[in-house]
Amino acid sequence: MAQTLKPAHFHILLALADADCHGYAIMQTVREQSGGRVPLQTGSFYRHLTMLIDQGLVAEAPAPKHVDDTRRGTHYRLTPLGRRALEAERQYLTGLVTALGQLGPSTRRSR
Amino acid sequence: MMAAVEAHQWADTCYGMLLRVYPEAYRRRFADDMRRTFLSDLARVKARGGVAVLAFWIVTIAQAFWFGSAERRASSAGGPVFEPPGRHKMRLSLVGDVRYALRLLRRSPVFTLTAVVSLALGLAGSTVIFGLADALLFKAGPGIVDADRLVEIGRTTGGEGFDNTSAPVVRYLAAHTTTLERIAGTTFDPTPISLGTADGSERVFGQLVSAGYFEVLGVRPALGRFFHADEDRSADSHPVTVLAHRFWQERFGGDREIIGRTIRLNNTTFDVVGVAQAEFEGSTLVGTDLWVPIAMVGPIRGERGAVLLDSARAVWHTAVGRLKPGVSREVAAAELNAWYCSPRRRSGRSPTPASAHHIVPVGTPSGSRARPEPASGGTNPRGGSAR
Repeated sequence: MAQTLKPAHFHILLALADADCHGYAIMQTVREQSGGRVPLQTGSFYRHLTMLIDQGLVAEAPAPKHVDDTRRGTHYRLTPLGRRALEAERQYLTGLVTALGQLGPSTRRSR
Repeated sequence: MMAAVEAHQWADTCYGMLLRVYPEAYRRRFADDMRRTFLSDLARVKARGGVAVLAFWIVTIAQAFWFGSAERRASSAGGPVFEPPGRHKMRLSLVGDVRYALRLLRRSPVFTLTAVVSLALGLAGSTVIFGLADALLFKAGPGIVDADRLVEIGRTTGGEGFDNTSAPVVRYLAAHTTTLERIAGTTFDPTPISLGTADGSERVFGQLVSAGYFEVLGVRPALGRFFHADEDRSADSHPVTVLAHRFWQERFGGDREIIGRTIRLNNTTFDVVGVAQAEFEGSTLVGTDLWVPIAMVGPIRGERGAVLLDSARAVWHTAVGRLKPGVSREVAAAELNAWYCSPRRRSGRSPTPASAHHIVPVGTPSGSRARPEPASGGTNPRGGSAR
């Protein structure tokens, strides 16, 4: 299966995989899990988020009951379609890693 | 603490204003959330210092304009833009625009035809006009050397116009100038002349010029020679002529034996002494067929040559001169006027307002007829003291 997600989109979906989050928390998670390789600022983050919402992969979520900090704003969640897209991406990347693992030792040394 | 709160509010206000770049629907949906996220992120960056904050603001502003305008385009196009902005998308957008324009043009063939024909006519007209202007006014005539140092010399009246001057004045200026390498008299326009033929006559055009005319322009003879200095002195004494290369080719078939032969101009026999270099057709807009020494004005014009040559009152030709390297037209004008006043003073005729003529050298960038320029202050006849 071909890769379908952009890196920023993949990381946003990944950040929402475990729990619903508000915008700033998603942005921070993406920065941390990508090791800074996906540079996001408010403008670009909401650009990607808008695309994901428009594609039906992410949706607004009601704020969790136990969170009383209303300053954090809207929470977002993965939709079932978003979860499937993430799963497809996981399979694709796993296939890639498997293929890389089957490379000969000389190739590995030269890397 | 108060300062921190004020800074926070200021940043919030600024970002709120920046968000106005986004379309209203987008703002309604995300602006509050974006402001919260932005302020949290700003607080994080502030810990890293002033430079980081500055860079953060620059990126924030750039992104707001970039993504905001993309959202505007998307909303005006009726849907979201799924491709992130980038070179690829811009190219697609341009290609799309061109395709759309072509489709529209194809749908309105009459409009398209009218537009194309109008454009074609306009372009063709402009090309012809500019080509003519270039050839006549700006480009150096063929054979003319260093045209930017050539000036045409004539009189102005009260700083206005450009007029003929007299043969004695041109001779006097040529003998005394230190700012011009050389000055030579020449008639402004070629004169129609009757060329005698075996079975009658035909009309040709000839220009009356001083002996140094060709040397001033830097033109060389293709055959024979140009005029000697003594051939433009005494009236009617040296009936010699130099032919234009084109005229020699067309009228005499390029006969190299033409030198030393005679032709009849206005029923006077002239010796052909030379042929000018190919393509050179004179220093005026209208090309000429041949050149005759200025002293032969009598037979060529049918007037009394001696009077025209010796009277300062007879103003019937202009002159061309070549500025010495580095000399400006203004300096040359001042010098020529100083000399111009000199013989007038000596003859007891001081300049009066009624005779406020003065000499003006005008540029001949084309080596062809140039329009006179407004006289500079240095050309005031009364300002130029006698030397």
